[in-house]
Amino acid sequence: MGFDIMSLQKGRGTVQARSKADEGRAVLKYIDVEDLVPSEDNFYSMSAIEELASLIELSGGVKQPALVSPMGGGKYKVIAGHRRRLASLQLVKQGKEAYRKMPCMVEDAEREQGPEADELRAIDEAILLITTNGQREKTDWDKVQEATRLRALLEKKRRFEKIPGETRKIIAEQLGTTPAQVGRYDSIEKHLIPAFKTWLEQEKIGISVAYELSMLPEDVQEIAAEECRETRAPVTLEDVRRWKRDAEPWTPPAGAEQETTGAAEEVPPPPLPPTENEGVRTEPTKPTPMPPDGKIVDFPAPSSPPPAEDTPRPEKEPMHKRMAANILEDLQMYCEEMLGIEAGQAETWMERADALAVAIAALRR
Amino acid sequence: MGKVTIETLRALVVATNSLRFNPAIDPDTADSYERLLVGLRDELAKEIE
Repeated sequence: MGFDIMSLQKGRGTVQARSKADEGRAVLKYIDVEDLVPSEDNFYSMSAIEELASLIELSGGVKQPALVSPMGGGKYKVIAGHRRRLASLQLVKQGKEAYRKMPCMVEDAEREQGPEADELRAIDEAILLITTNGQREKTDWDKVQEATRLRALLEKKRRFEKIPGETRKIIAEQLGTTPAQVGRYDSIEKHLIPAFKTWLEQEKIGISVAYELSMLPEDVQEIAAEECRETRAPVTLEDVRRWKRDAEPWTPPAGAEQETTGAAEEVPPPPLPPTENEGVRTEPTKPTPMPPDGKIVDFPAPSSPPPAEDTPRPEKEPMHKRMAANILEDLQMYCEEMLGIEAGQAETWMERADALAVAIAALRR
Repeated sequence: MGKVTIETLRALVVATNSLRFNPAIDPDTADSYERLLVGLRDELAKEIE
């Protein structure tokens, strides 16, 4: 039987079943939204909160419970339901107290304790955060992040227990995509240079262009990025092909070598097998169909055999408050600079800078 | 400012949690600050390199 992430959602996964105390299911509770703590691992965008608040109001309340885990002290960490929490908070802020209590599925509080159980539980929570957000509208960047994080979490989980099946297939099943597409996400994550990753995040390039760019050597990508910055033109697959052609070493036309060197009998060395770290990059690409107007409508699956499994990435530890404060200090300076640059938004930037100052003080207290 | 990364966004979440669950900060104030920081987080994720 394959690895069943759905079992985690029922509170009956392999981690939870390690002891009798962990065999309980999640229970439904109505929890004050003020007691719900967002997960710092939630990387999804939090857009359209006002629209969601209106929907919740129309529906007479949150109908789909959030998934939370107890933190102690009456607080609960949100695993799924960050937008619902914010929308409910907004309604409460508007004086609509009827929305203060939000339905939540709470993981069994009487669960197994101990460092290993806690670590496994943290892994499962992070996996659930991704797999329970399947209905959300996602950007290409979200999808790459999902696949990358899910891979790291599964590899980490494998250090504790056996999970049957190929990681790439498990990820594909959980994200509702194909193993080949997961291979593309991996290639983007591993090989795309930061500048293009940012563009993908900002939706300036699509997943197909990002993938093709990731197949270029990094120095060629850097040159390409520089060209894009200068021309400010959108990147197309045709551009990527041109950069690829430009990067290839010049070879004499077919037949010329035989005439001039008489090397027809020389047998070229066999291609070297791909190394573990080369991943999808060494795979040859199929030509991509191009419509007459030059716009990209689709891109092909990588040629077989499928890319090799990548080595696991180390999972991130929870961020320390001091590190968060340092990062936010930088951000606060940025907000103060923006005060002068965006005069029309000066008040907003000032409020943000103030909020950051208070947050930094709270983190360092 | 340096490049905005996922760490910047995580730092903002850590910050909002510190505000909300800080007994020294009034819950209404924490709420308005959280809105500001969530707005900033979304803007950074979309628009800032």
